[in-house]
Amino acid sequence: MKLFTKYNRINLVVMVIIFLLSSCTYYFILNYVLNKELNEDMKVIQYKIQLYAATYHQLPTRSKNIDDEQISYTLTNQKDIPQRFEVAKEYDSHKGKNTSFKRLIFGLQAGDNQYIVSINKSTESTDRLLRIIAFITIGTILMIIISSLLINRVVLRKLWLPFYEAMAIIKDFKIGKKQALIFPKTTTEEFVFMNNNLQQTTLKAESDYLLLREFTENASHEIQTPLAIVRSKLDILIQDEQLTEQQSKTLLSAYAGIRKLSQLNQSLLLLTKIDNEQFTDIMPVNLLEKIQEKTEQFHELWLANNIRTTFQLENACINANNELIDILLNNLLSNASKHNTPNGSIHIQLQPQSLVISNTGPDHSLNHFRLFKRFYKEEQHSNNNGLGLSIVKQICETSGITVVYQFTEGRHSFCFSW
Amino acid sequence: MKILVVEDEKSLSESICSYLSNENFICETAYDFHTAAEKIHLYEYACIVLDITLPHGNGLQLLKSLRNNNKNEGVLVISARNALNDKVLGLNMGADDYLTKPFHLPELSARIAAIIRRKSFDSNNIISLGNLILNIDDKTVRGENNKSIDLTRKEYELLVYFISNKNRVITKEAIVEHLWGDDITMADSYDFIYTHIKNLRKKLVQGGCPDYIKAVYGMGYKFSAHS
Repeated sequence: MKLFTKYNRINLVVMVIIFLLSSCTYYFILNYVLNKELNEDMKVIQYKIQLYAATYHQLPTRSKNIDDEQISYTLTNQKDIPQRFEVAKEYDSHKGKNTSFKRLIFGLQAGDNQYIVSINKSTESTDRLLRIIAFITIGTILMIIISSLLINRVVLRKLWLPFYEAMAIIKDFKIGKKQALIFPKTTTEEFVFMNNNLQQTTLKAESDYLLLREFTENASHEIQTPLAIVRSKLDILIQDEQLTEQQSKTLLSAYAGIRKLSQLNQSLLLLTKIDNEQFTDIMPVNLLEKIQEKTEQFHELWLANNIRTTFQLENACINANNELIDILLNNLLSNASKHNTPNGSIHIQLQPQSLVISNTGPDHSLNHFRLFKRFYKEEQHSNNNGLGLSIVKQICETSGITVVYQFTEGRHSFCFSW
Repeated sequence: MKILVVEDEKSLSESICSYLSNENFICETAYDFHTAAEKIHLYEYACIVLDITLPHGNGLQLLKSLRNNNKNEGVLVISARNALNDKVLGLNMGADDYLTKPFHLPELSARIAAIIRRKSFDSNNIISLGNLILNIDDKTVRGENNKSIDLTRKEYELLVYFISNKNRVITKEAIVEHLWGDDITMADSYDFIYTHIKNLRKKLVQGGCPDYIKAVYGMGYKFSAHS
C-alpha cells in the first residue's frame, strides 16, 4: 500500500468520524433548540388561552386558529388534568401522508365547564431542517473523499516523482561500474536529504569496492614473484642426484602446493579483471573451430582416463571476447573431465544459438544455489580451488550468455544460450 | 653463448643462472635498470631475460632503447602480470617471447633455446645430438644412418623440450604444462604422459639412438646426453 494511501485512509477515517460526531452534536443541539422553541410557542398559546378563559369565562373562538397550530377543546368531567407534551402522528389528507405533531395537553376551566385543551403543532419544518443538515454532512464527506482521491492521483504523483526517479536510478546502480549517480533536482527537503544520503552511500561503497579490487589485484601480483622463487629453487633442488625417494615425494608435494597457489592466484586475478571490464575486445568467435581445437587438446587426457566422447557440432558464432571464451571452454571441459566417473562419457552439442556440455559424474545433483558461488566445492576435493564455475558465470554475465545447470538421468549438463 | 638475466629478485636470478649455466651458456646478472642498461649497451648477448618491473625503471623501456639502437638480441620478457595487454605490448615492442611468473625453469630454458635458434643467422635450424638430427624447419627427426624417425607432433615437441633441458631433471608437471599449456587444469596425476614418453623412447631406440630418457623416481624424467 502506498504511503499516501495509508495516510489518506487514516485521514479520511478520522475526518469522517469527526464529521459524523460534529453533525450528530449539531443535530441534537439543533433538535433541542427547535423543540424548546416549539414548546415555548405552545406555552405562549396555552397562556393566551388560559388568560382568555379566565377573563371571558369561555373558550376562545375558532378564528384564532392559525395554519400552523390546531387547537381542540374537549369537554370532560375530570378535574386536575396534568399538563403534558406528547408526540403524535396523524394522517394529513392535504398532503396525503403521515405528518408528525407535537401536542400540548392541559386542563382548562372555562366558565363552569372543564375542558381538555390540546394544541397541535406540526414538526414538519424541523424535520426538514434536520434532513437538510444530514444531507449536507454526507455530501461534504463524499466531496472530501473524492477530492482527496483526485489530489492523490494528480498532485501527489507529481510530488512523489523525485522519489520514484531516485529509486529507478538506484535500481540501475551496479557496484564497480564507476558511474556517478545523478539524481534529478528537487526542492522537497526530504527528497534532497534522501538523494544526498544515497549519493554519499553509493560513492563510499564504490570507493571501498575499488580499493578492495585493487588490493586483490596487487596482492595476487605480489604473490607471483615469491612463488616463482620457490618454484625455481625446487627446480634446482631436484637436479641433485643424491635425493632419496622420500625427499622426492616431499618435493613433489611442494610442487603441487605451488601449482595450486599459483592457479588460485590466477583465477582471482582473472575474476578481478573481468569485474574491471578489462576484456573489452569483442569480436565474432567461431565456436565450432574453438571447440574442435579444445577437444583436440583434451583428447589425450580423455583417452588416458577412458572417457568416451560424443559430439554433435553445428556451425555457431558468438560475439564475445576470444580470450574469455577460451577460458570458459577450458574450465568447462576440465570440469567435465575431472568430475567424471571411471569409464564415463562427455557429450558436447553445439547449435547456432546454444551449447550443451554434459557428462557423467557424481550420482546426485549439485547445489543449484551455491554452484556458481566463489569457493563452492561439492566436496573438499584437493585439486579444485572452487573458482572455476564462478569464472564461468562471470564470463557468461559479461558476454550476455545464459547458463543453466541441469541434472537428469545421471548426467550433469551445463546449457548455454545466447 | 652469453645470457643476461635482468631480474631484481636476487634469489630468482640466482636460480635462473644456476639452471641455465652449462657447457653452452654463461649467465650474467643485472639487478636494476641502470646496470642492465649499461651491460646491454656494452656487451652483446645471445639472449636477454628481462623482468618488467625493475628498480629505477621499466623493463619495457630497456627493450625499447635496445630496439632503437638496432640491437638484435633475443629478448624473453618475464613478468608477474599475466595480462594479455602486457603480453601484446611486450611482443609489439620487439620481445621474442613472454613468460609469466611463476614459471618452470625447464620452460624458461626451452624458450631461450628456441629464441636463440630463431635468431641465429647461420642457418642453425639443425639440432644434432650424437647421431640424432632434428630439423627445426620441417620438424623431422633422423637417427642412425640418416634413418627417418617418425614422431607424432607431441612426441616431437617433447623431444625438443628434452634436448633444451638435457641432463636436467624435469618434472611431469612441467612437461604437461609445456605440451598442453597451464590453462587446462588436469587431474592430480600426470601419469597420462607416460604413454608419450614410452613411445618416444621406443622410437628413439629403434632409430638407433641410445636410451637417453631416464625416469627419476615418481618425480619426472631426465634426458641424459654427454657430448
